[in-house]
Amino acid sequence: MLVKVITGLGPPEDMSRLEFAARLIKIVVLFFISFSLAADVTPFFYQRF
Amino acid sequence: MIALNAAPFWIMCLATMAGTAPLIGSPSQRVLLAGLNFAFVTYFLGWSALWLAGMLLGVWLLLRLTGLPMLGIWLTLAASLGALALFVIHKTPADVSNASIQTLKTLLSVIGYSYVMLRFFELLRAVHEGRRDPPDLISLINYLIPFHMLAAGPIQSYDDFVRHSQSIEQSITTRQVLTGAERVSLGVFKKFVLALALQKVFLTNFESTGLWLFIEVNVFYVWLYLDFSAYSDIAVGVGHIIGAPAPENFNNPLVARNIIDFWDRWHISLSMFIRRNLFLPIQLVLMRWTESHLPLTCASIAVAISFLLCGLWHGLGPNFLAWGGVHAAGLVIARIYAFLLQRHLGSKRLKAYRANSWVRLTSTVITFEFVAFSFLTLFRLPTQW
Repeated sequence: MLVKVITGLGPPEDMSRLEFAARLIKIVVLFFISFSLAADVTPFFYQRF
Repeated sequence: MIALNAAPFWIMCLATMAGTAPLIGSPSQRVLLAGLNFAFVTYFLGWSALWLAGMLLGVWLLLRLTGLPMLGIWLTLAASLGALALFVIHKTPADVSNASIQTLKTLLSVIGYSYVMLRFFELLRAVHEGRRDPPDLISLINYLIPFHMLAAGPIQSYDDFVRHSQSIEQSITTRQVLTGAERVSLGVFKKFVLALALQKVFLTNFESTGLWLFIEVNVFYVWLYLDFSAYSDIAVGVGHIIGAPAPENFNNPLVARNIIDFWDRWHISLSMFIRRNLFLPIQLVLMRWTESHLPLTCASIAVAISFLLCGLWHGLGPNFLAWGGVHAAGLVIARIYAFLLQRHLGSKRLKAYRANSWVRLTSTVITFEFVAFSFLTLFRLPTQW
């Protein structure tokens, strides 16, 4: 099941593929931005603030 | 304390998700989870993990003996005092001259002892009162040192833990994984983007003055909410995926309309712990003493004692005691105010009064400022006795 989720093959029955993809992308983007900042890799965001 | 911006926690999350997800519904899942929980703290503690293993075995044995007549009472009392002694060691400044104490302090810090102690009290009380059987070693490890709740709670009640253990789901669904992952991603975003941005831009450890101090006081409250609730979001999200649910800990506390409402929304698991284990027992004793003649006085005294202890749980300095005292005073005043309103307005007019949007807005702003300024006590008052 975990593999199914990670590979994006199995949205829940009552969820469209579009919504499923959008939610997966949101998760990836939030993780990417957060860990970029946490690791201090992209000080770009701080400069904007 | 477990750092969430370092790799071990996230490697542990992935390992646990990958390892336990296929086993959900089978007895092996909780065994694997216990092994991973212990392995996680062993990574930080090294050989000192043997101390922890000894402590867990001691607690396991102790819980089996607490049911004995007479001896059980003394053992429960001794265990409670021992747990409190460890808490004092955990919260007092480091004594670097003594290697054993230093090792013990590191151990207590890694497992987040403040939270472990409260879980231990829940467990001890449930077993001592005969509400629950003593747990086996696997359940004990999973309840006392769950890796996803070590950093900053929440404080799961033992009844809640047993309920979830007994209703183990048969398999993990895509929706569960998606919802859990969304919650974790929201948590890391709140902590590492929103809270960090506020901290970098506005917070000066309250060295500011005048208008800037007013701004900092307000921003600090928002920052603390974002940072702290982020830990809970991550714990709840991870728990959702690995089949070891963590209780919800926050419910929009920034819009609380009075201090009683605030404590129903802020650090809910601590608030519920206080209610179950301090407020209600103290109130019950006081009501018996006064033969139920002074309910408001009894409730006020129970609140005051509970929140002074709550302050000391956060830290053993006078500043934390004062913070608890400020909240206790706020809660007592709010209770008296609610009582007076009820008496003067009656139920019907009170309902209309509470529904008024201006009243709601004013009370929300006053509550927000009260809570925000209460944090000043932590920074402006002495930290040592």
